[in-house]
Amino acid sequence: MNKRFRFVHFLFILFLSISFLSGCSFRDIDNRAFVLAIAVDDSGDTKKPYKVTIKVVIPSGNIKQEGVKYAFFSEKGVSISEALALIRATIDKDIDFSHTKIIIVSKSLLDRNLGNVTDFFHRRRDIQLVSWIGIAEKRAKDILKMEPKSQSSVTTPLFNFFSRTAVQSPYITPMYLFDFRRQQIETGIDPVLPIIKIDKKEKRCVIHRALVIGDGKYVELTPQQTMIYNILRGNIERFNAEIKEKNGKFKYGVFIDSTSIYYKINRENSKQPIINYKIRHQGILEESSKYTESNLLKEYGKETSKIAKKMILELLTYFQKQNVDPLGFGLRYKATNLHTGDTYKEWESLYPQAKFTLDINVNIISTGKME
Amino acid sequence: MQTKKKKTTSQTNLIDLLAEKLEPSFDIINQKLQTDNITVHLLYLKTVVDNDQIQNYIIKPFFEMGSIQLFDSYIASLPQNNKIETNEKVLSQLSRGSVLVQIQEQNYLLDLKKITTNLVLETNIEPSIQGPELGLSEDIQTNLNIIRHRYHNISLKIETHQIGTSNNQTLAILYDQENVNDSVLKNLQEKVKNLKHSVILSSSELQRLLNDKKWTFMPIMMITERSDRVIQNIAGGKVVLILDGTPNAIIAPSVFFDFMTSMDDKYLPFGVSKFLKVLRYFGLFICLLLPGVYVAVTSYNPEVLRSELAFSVAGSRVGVPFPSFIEVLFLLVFMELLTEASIRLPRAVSGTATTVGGLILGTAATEAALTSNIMVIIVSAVAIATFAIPINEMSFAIRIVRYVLLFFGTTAGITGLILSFLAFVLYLTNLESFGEPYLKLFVQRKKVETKGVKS
Repeated sequence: MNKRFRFVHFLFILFLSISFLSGCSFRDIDNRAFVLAIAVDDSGDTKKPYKVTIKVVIPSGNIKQEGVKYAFFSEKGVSISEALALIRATIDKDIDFSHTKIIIVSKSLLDRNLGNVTDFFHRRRDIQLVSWIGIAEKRAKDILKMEPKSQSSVTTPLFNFFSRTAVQSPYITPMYLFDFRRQQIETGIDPVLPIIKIDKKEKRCVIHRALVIGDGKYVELTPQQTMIYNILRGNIERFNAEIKEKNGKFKYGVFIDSTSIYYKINRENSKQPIINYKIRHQGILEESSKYTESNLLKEYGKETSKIAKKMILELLTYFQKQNVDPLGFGLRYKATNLHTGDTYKEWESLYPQAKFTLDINVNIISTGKME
Repeated sequence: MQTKKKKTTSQTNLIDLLAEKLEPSFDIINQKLQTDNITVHLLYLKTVVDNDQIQNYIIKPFFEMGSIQLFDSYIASLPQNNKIETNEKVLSQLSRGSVLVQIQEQNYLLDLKKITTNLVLETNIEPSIQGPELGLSEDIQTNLNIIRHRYHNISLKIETHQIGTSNNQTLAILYDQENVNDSVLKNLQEKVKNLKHSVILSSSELQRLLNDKKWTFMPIMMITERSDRVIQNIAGGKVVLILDGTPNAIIAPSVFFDFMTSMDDKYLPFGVSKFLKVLRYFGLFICLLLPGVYVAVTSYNPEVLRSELAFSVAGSRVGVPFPSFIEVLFLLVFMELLTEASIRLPRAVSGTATTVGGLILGTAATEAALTSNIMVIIVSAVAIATFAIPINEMSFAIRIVRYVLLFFGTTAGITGLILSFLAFVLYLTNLESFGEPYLKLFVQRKKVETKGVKS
């Protein structure tokens, strides 16, 4: 009897004490302000250089009819965390970064050489490392605030660009936060971030360039270079290529739907390594200004290969000249050579001398027509 | 001669002695049949015996036959004739519908009982699509008859015991001698012998009394109304207990996975039955985890949801005055009430109760912003999933366990949920049913398992 009484007492006290415990991290989902995207801008102020803007989703009871509404909050601060702490005081809900998918940093902030801007995002537990990071050409805040014409997604429109579940374009260079950090710290590979521009008149995002973040320098790529980089990096398998005549007139377009890329660093000559690329493309003719014949497919392929070879070589030597390594040759060199203590230094002296050879074959399998 | 006389007196005394013992009852009949020279005494309780049978088997032949020797040997050769042992046994037999016949010095006990409960019932707790539609009856003779008729093997042994010190109910223990697990059988026999309860009315009560532990959630013996399940389990080497007066049989030992099999698994095509099994386990996990997951995910870890889902959950919770766990508890309790009500209500009314409760209450609760509509979806999913568990006792057990998981999900989020689920699995692993591990899988040596333990 006594034992039973004690047990009931124990239960009573347990439940009482548990009811006091609930305050700590139990927070209902409707009391959280979900941040969809963070933009970090240069405030122009020297003392408080960061201007942080967050895009918060306001849940509505009826998403189907009312759609989703957003609110924007921004503050200046000495650091990103200070700015966010100031924002926290202005929202009646708890800021929750668990659904943050996009981080945009403005280019001007990079130019100011403030050290590691993105450090904050790596340290916070609740910002997921699978969010994407991008560079804003002008103000990151404007990109956040812009609502494109075609918007239908509940999350930010940029999500669809980067996740490749909707948009598949060879011009877009998505970069995960964790991958960015990894490539930033690792010697022998330089991260490449997409540059996001907005077209205010047309209300749309234009993402077709990229920025190589080298060792203390930034190299901007043109749209075409971005595309070739994405192909070489294996980011994308399907793309279009246009073949022009000598006078610049459009001759025909090729749509590549499968690609295999492979390279090897040949060290037979210890002073001058040779980087052998082996590229195989397969695709169809997509558009042509003239009548095409199926028995000439091989010739079209040869012609395309020739032009592709030229463009790829141009880009590779451009990287070499700028002394950036976004394709990770250095990393490959480090990984495949016997470790000598300073393998990377060795590579640093070898890279400017490296020679590229290309074995490229474009196989066009169809004219795309019924014959 | 003298000894014989003594015996005779003792036997004449027997019928008087018994009549005296039975005396105050209104239904006791102490009858004397008499022709010119022969006298026969009958003693029986008229409420339990079949009057037609007495008329046909005893009274008619008595007046048709001339000599007492002929009648004596006629009675002695009737198949209903039982052995007379002690006075107590005779009394107990009389209370079960036997007739004591005294011809000169000789006593005979004839089993002429009248059974009004031998109707074989349709299965309604464990219905199946293609299996037999009739289950067991409330009479033990009929039940044993059904089982003997479906298991034609002389190795099927039936032992009977009397349980309940007041009501002396008959309990039959059935097993296949070739296959049965001897330790389980001995254990059960001993437990049945040691039962000290005065009245035992139903097999579920018996099952509870046979269980050593008082606080248990998980059933370790299965109660079934299906005769095909009984046959299958006897063939598999299990022990079956059938209590007189209940249309259910107890199967022991039973492990967790037994409770998740429906008899249809045996009758349906292989692929279909596997699909249904997967579906059933899916239902089990939904019913066990979903309420806890809802609370843990919405209140601690919304990052595990897709963004769109998180926002729509957040949107649907706008204006709901309670924290998520109260919301879940509130609806779950209402759902339990609904289930309970539809069991207890007469069948004609229960349909209305479900409609009013389920549809109207659910819609109205969302309209009044007492709960979110996603919550209503979750609770109805849980309710439906509960019914996917084929055996009732298991679904009761799971219904209770999910509150425990909900509690830990509420206090510690997903971590708490995972740890408490782990604890539940550990608890199951620790359980055993008459020496068989409760979470024993029958995949390793399936052939041997279904053949029975001995082979």
